Parts: sequence; C-alpha cells; structure tokens
Amino acid sequence: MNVTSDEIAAYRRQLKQIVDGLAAGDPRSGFPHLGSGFTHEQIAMFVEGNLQKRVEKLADALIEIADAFDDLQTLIDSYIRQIPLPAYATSSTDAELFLQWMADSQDISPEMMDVIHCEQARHEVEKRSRQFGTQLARFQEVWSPDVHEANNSDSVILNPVRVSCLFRTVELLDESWRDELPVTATFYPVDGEIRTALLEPAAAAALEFVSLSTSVADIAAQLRAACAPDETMDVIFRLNESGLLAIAASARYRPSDAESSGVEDGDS
Amino acid sequence: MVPAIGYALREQNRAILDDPAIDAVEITFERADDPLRLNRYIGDLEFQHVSVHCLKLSIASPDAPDWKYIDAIRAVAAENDADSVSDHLGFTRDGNDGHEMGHFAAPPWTPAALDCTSRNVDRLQEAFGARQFYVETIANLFEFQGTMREAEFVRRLLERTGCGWLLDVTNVYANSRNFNFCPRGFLDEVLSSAPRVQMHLAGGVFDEDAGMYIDSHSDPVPDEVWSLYRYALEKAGNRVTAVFIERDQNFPDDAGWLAEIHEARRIAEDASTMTRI
Repeated sequence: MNVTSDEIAAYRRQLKQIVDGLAAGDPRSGFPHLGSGFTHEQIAMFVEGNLQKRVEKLADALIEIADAFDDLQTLIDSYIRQIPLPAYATSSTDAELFLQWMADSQDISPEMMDVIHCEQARHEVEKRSRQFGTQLARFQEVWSPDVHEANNSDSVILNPVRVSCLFRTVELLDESWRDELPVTATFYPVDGEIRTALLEPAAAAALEFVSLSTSVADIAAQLRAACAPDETMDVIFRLNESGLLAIAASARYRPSDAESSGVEDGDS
Repeated sequence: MVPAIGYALREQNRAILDDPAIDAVEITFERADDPLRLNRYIGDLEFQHVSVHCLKLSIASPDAPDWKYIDAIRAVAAENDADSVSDHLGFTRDGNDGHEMGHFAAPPWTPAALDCTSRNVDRLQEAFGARQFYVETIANLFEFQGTMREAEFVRRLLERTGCGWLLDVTNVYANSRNFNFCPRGFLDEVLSSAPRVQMHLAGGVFDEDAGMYIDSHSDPVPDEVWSLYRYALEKAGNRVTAVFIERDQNFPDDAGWLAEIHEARRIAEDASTMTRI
C-alpha cells in the first residue's frame, strides 16, 4: 500500500487541526474528522478528561505553594484555557509556565512574587540537575555531611547546581531578616531533595573563593579576610554539612577527575 | 512457558514487589525520570523482566519522536536494566513544535497514519536496540474516520515493523463492550501477526452518564477480563514475555495486591498446558 507525500501532508494537516483545538480545550476541531457512529459527546468527554488531568497534575506540582494563593483552582482553570501545553511538556514544565503566566498577567503583590520566584528557583534546580547530571552524581559520590576534620591537601568541590533567588520581603523568611532585605537565597540539590541556604557574608565569601575545586588550605587562607581565624574551618565544615560544597580527602578525589561543568549561578 | 508476571510499579505497591510471586515490573518513564533521584527507580530489586512504559512518544504523530526524549528513555532503561520499552498506539501531539493534548488519541486508521506510525516504530526499535519495543492498543472513547478497521491497522503495523504487541486485555474488553464487537475475534486477528506479546490487566468502571466502560485502573480485574486473558494466553503461547497488572486508584492492602498476582499466575500456569489453535 503506497502512501504519497500528499497523503502524508494531508495527515499532518489533519492532526494539527485536531490537536490545536483539543489541546486548547475545544473539542469542535475533532468533529469534522469523527468516524461514523461516534458522537460529539465522546470527543468532548475526551477533552474534558484531559483538561481535568492537566488541572490535577498542575495542582499537584504546585502543592508546596498552594496556600499562598487565594484561589489557586480558579487561576489554574484560567491558565490552562489560555496556554496550551507545549510538545513534550511535563507537569514540571507546566508549573513553570503557570508561574511565568502569573508573574506576567496577574496583579501580584511583592510577597506573592517572592513565592513565585522561590518556586521558579526550585524548578531551575531540577532543570540544571538534569543538565549537569553527571557532575551532580560525581559530587554526591564525594560528598558526606559528617566531615569534621580536614587536611590542608584535601579538595573542596562546589555543588555543581546552585540557583540564586532574591527575596524582597519576609514572606518566606524569618522576621529577623527584615533589616537585611533584599536577601539572596541559594537553592541546590543534595541527597535527593532541594535545599535552601541563606548565606551570611563569610559563607558567601567562601563559596566565591571555591572554583571547580581547590584545597582546604587555599580556601581557609582566603577566608581569613572575611572572618576570624578560628572560624574559617567552622564555616567550611558547615558549608560541607549543608551540601553546598564537599570536602574530599585527597586520596578519594583528584582535581583532574573533575569534568567541565559550565555551571553558572542564575537569578530568579 | 509461563511469562514473567508483575505490577506496574506505584509507590503504593513497592512494599510487595519483592514477593516471590512477582518476577516482572513495569516502570512508567515519566515517574522514573527524576533528576534529583540518587538511586535507580527499582532500587535493589531484581526481576526476570523489566519494562519501561512511556506516555509521550506519540508514535502516530507525523514527526518522529525527539532524540532528546528518546535518550532520556534510554537512560532510564539502562539504569534499571530494562528488557523492553513500550508506548501507546496513538498521538498526544501533532508535531515536535506543536502542542500536547494530554492523553493520547488513536489515529485515524488510514494508510498515511500507518506509514507515519511504522516509520516511527522502526526508528524507535533502532534506537532501543536489544531492548524490544512494544506498542499498546488503547481504550478508545471514539474513532476518527478511517479506511480500515483497528485490527487490520495493528496487524499491518506488527507485520511491517516486527515490533511486539502490548495487548491491554482490559482495553480490548472495554472497546468491545463500548463498540459492540467480538473481543476474541479482535485477538485472533491481531495475535496472528504478533511476534511477541506483553499484556496489561486492570479493572475499570461503567460510567452511567457516558454509557461507557472506562479503563480507570481503579478496581480489581473483572471476571470477563480474566477470561479474555486466559484466551489470549492460550492463543499466544510462548510468545507472551510479560504480564503487568495496573492499578492507579482505590489501592488494595498487601493481601489484595498479591491476590491478583496469584490469580494471574494461576491462570498463566493453567494456560501453559493448553494451546488454542
């Protein structure tokens, strides 16, 4: 049974017409193509079922921030009717698109904007974890939270995925941070979860000093300008415990083991 | 020969997956594809047969599936030592730059759709290599205008590509009940061209408002599906490589999970002594 290129082109047009309508929640685009004996109600049921599933998945993806919205359900219903799901989109992608739609089209308070930026940062962590999966896996192999001693020759390795986010209100912070607004939060993956760190000057300086890898001795020396000498190792150990960096014994890790990461910090 | 039998993995049935009666598992790609996860999705468990079940290859689309997506599936399959990959005979999008409908719809049963689907399946089989690819026939709420019947389309697809058939027994039952055709006739026609077979079993509900049986994965496998399952096993014989029970709602307790596995295995053992010609 030979198929011509015209027939393939017609099939492509047919599917585009069907999908453009059904993806936007309009079953009518399927009606002209319906087979004999089948009803409009059946296509409508298919479309409504898909929309309902999309709503449920999106609500699930936004569950961490659901309480921050007055009427999340109404917002989601409005969003899905305006923004069809792009090809290959996951529920995580849909959540990102929803947050951007909120920021672009809704009347958002500064507090709500912080909530949106926080969630966007978390999604960015997921995206970069996928992009730098090999480097992240390597970091996880080397990292242990329970490091309380280090030799000067030990290496210090940055978590390859770190996303920065600026908080302009205390909506997501303890009230004690109010006088220091805006505050930069760092989101990063470790141990199968996304963590958040608010870095005081010494800790932030320590991360600045660490490139792809450097020795404990180097970083401690550079930290002396930012904090008291007896605090430098404490800062490094706390950063290790948090998972933002890893202290790796020189026997377990050589700088030449590192792959190029292309990591950059991003601001949400 | 009794096929490998198990569950479509859900967090709700993880606890029973190490039961000796379970020697197969099907993992849903979208659930397993988690960039934050440290260990493989099936953990330390070992199975005779592991399959990766996908939702978005959209094999009936005119565009071939995107390589980035295929690579992600391959990574999950490799990580979990999968023996096979499967997805549905349908389309979720019109093209790689288009939109997603969400759930898949069956294509119109036409030569053009068959041509596109066959080429996509060929590409996927090449991409997945030794991991065999299976195409699942779906439960339809409706059909688009076509020039052949579904059974003919599926038979031609299997003959042209040599891929496996993921026979969702509940889907066949649902379609036959909703659209009034003989399910055994459908099985006879398609099985005649299937070089290898996997099966899905599930329980659904009758939606009074819609007047249709819905494959909701919400209930125990009904007697009619067990009966059709036995028939399919007797017809397909040694071509059946794995059977997976699906459940997504109204989860049973551990005894409930295991009861269905034992029933599936009992029927398979009975059927292995019988060949239906």
